[in-house]
Amino acid sequence: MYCRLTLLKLEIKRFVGMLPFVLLETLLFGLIAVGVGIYASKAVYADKVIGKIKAGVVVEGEELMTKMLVQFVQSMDSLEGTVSLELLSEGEARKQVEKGELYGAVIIPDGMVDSILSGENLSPSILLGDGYNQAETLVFAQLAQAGAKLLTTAQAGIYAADAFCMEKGMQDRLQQTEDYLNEAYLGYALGRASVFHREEVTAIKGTSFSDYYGISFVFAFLSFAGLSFGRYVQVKACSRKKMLCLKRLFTGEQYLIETGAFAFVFSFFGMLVSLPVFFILSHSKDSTFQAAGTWFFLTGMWLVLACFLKMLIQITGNSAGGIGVCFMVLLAFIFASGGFLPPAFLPVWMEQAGSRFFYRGWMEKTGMFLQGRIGSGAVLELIVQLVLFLIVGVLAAKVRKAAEK
Amino acid sequence: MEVEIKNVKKSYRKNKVLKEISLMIKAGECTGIIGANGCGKSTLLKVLAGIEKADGGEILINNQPVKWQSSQLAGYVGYVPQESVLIPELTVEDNLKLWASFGEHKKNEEILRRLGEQFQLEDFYRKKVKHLSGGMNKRVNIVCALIHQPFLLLMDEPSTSLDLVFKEELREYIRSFTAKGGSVLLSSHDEGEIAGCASLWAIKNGIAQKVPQGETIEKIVSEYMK
Repeated sequence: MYCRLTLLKLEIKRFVGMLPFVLLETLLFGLIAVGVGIYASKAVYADKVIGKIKAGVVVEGEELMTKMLVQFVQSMDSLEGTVSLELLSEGEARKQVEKGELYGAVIIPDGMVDSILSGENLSPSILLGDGYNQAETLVFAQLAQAGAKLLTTAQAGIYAADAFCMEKGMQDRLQQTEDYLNEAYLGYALGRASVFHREEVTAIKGTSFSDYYGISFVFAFLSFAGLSFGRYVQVKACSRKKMLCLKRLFTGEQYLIETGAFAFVFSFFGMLVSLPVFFILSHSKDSTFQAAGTWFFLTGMWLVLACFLKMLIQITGNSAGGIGVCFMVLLAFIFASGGFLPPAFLPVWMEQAGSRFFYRGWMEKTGMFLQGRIGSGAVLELIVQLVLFLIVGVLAAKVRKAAEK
Repeated sequence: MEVEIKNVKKSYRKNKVLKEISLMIKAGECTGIIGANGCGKSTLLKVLAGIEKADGGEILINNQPVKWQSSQLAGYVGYVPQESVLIPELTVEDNLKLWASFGEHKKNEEILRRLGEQFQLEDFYRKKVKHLSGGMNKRVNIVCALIHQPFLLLMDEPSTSLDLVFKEELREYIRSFTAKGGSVLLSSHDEGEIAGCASLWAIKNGIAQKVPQGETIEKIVSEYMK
């Protein structure tokens, strides 16, 4: 036991001595990661980054229903941050589109609502300027179609009612039924704008964007710090390790001792880095963080992260190539889990893949701890993960030793 | 104590490095193993130290068979490998403490103090291993192997990277070690070291053969080391 404690103490001393180098290397990794992150975001979204869309609406004639429709679209809260609609005359709209002051304009022809209801289907015209990009055009086109779709749905309802009247021999009631349905449907549909009022997009359940980015920054930073430690981790079965085996300190025990020391130093380092970040964030206006004793559960989070990183390094090896593979794996994990962009903004396949990686869960749990909440399920899950990473790490160490023979 | 190894075999996949090695290491003697590069000298020492598992053969200590890789064998043997067993980021003192922590650590620390004096390590205790010269690193490795007072010292090319002064000191230490009844088995390419061995064994094609007494260095080099 004394020799195990001695080795643990010495390994802790070794990792502590590396902290200044690790910090420097992490900053370097961080810079690369930020570069790759930005590049990857651009690769995923190309030029789809959405700015605020300014569009004009031209309503020809004085149709009440059309104006209601425009007001309905304008009142949708979910569009408020993305789109600003302006009611203009056609001449003014064309001028502003040409000048590039508007991305485009929708010209709603006189009697459009009636035409849709009657099946004639007058389409709105869309004017597009040169200063638009793909995503904005898509959003704009969707908006223009949204109104038409709303009315088309009503039309389907009316056709159904017509069919019902014909089948039941109530042809004389057709016009009355259509008028009633038109009024009722639009009355209900346009009055239901409240449905869209609270379509909130959140990165991590119940956290603000600044909280979210704080958490993802800390995770990315610590992950790359762990990678910097990787260079100093003893992965190969060197003569020393083999000789320690002769002293009855076997491969598995050696792995656990080194991981224990690494995790101890890493979790201390993690608290040192994360607490100030989260503390500052907790004072921001929209923060959901609340300083509480549960913050110390973060130590456990960093312990789990340390064991995960150690396991990863043990599997890939800590040669330049191994660390490179580790770096790419981490980058992919963090990106897919929403570390650079919130999951809501990721492509669906990536979002789904990311939900299976540990990082998403860790970020959610971190948010929970920072909000002063502890779920026994979350703690249990972390313990299970910790044990799993240790077991896999020990197996990887044994496999590597056997392979080196 | 006399050590006899019989028909030791060791292969790495299809490469039969040691085909049938049999040799005798007499008590109080320094025995040398020579041979061309890659002939299996280091492998033989690793097998004897217990670092590698023998595929066959046996080891007898005072005519009693001892199990390969057993703690009994590990207790008898001290091994100085070619590559350092030290942790480079730690100090000399820390590294020595680690190797002294096995077994009776209080007693080992006392032995360590004496060995430190003998190998003049005191001035280097606080120095990190990564800042040591090759020779000093080797000295610390030798001390690590001696902490638990083995009676058979296995040394894999011990004089590599040592300066002339320490080479001579090492020979002197080996002489005093054998004079106290200890046995040394070393692999070497160094003529001075070979000359200091009481008996020599040459490994060729995976088989060990005793080099006759009185052979000249020139003949040994031309016949067994090429």
